[in-house]
Amino acid sequence: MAAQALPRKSPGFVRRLARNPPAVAGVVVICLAVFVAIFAPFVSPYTPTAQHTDAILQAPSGRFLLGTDDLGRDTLTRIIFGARVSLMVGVIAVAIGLVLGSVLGLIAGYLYGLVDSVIMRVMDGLLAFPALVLALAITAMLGPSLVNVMIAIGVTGIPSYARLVRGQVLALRGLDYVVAARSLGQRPTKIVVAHILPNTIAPIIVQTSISIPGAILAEAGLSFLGLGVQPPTPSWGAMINTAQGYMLRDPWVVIAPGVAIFVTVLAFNFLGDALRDALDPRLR
Amino acid sequence: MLRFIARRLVALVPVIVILSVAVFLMIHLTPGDPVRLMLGDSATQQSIAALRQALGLDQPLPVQYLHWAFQAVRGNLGRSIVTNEPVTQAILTRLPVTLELSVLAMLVALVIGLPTGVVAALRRNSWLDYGSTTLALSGISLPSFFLGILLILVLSLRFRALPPGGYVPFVTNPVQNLKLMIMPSLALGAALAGIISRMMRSSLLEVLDADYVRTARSKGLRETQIVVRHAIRNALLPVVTIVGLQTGTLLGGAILTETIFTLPGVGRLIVDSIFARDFPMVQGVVLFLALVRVLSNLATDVVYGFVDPRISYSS
Repeated sequence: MAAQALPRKSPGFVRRLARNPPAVAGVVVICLAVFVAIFAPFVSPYTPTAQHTDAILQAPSGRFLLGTDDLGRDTLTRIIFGARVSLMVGVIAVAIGLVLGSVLGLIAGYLYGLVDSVIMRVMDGLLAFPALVLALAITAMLGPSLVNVMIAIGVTGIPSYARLVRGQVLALRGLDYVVAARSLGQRPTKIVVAHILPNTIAPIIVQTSISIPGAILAEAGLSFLGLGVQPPTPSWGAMINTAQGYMLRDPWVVIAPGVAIFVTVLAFNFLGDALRDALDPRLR
Repeated sequence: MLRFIARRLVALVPVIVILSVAVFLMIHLTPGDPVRLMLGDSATQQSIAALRQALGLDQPLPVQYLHWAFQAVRGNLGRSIVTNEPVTQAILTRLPVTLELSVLAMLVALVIGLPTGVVAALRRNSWLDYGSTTLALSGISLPSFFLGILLILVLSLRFRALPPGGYVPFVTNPVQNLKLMIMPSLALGAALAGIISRMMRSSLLEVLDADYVRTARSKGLRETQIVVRHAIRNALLPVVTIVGLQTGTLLGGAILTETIFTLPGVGRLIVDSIFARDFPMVQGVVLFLALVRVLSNLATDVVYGFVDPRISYSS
């Protein structure tokens, strides 16, 4: 009898991710950004509000690697501290949307019927607003601040998670093991937490990888308009806004924070693409 | 088809009610007294009471909402507390600018996005494919306001090829109008071009694997004929959906683009109104933009139904 070849085991999720060079580059950039954000006071050459009156709008040099702004503040330092704001908003705003949206989606999908209809109509209503317009309006009403920006961007993310989780729950609630758990008398909370929620993790991860770069761009946009983080707290978007007035004379003060936003968002987008492929069951 | 459109319009009613309630409640979300916030600290008690009465804020909340909604349905979104201009008139005056910007940005996105997506799909896993995908992701990752500033820096300030900002109506001076709209359309359309390119690539790859394409090849049709006559037409269907659903992104992006290029559109109106604490204007513009998005989603569904005869709206 001829020997049969063993079926090839499909590579694990991490290995599939590791085979994707852009994703690896994205992970490296994200880790670097997180490291810099956490250890900002230790890695930055100056404090973000320190003004060097002898070096106003100075070009990049040995003393100031990315030059200085109109108040003599070191651009590199402000970009490093700006990473804190961007990543904090990215993570916390998305967490707000994820938690609230997932809870609403779980309730809507599991209970179905009237509860589902009401929740989904409210979500449809929220989705009707262009995201930036909604974030703008909420920030305008609550007042510009870091916390209000997180709330505003977080609220715009709730409907996406709610619909995603609801869809997953609807697909799972009819499966045999869930029906069996129900007929055995298990409480709904336990069924949801023990059986349904773990099977929604993969799409939630993919959605999160899409939402974080969106949140970073939204914060940058709001800060650029003057409705986000307020001075003197450094924010990449606000730095671009301030530097517009003298960008012909000192373009690096505009370019540096813009490149920081671009590289960070691109890294998350590369990772998000790879996660989508790695977690797609059809590709296993 | 008419029954489908009617059903969708009816389904829109609860959505419009909910978004109108959300917009109405915005003014009540403001911490503290919204009337004091609008008029500032130096406002007298009389002016505060007068504005409160003019805005109907002295009535019970449900009465306020019903009065406001009734007026909104009749096209009356109130008046600006800064200029006393009717909100509806302010929006309609500025709408052509935003419309022109959105249409041009969409054109830019289609002109760039469709061919790059097709090339990426036809040259899968080649350097053209990788380059196209990277370009598409870069367009999506680049903030539109930063791209706008870069364009101004290079094309206006450095090379003086284009004016940096401002607006001239098309009917007044078409050439100057188009010169002024080149950079804003590029800045706003870049991200959408990236989205369209990726969707076109993905959709075309799926279609090229379909049975009918395999049949066309085995019948001896040339590859160009297969791609142009069969594949691209079917691959465009999801792209149509995406284009329609991106109206919200375009409207949001228009806010930033109009601010950078000082275009007197609806986007800039909402930003100026926020800083002026002109809450009736903010409410009106937000409601208007949300309604535009809802109706454009409906239009996308209808167009999709015409384009794809497989969709049965009567079932």
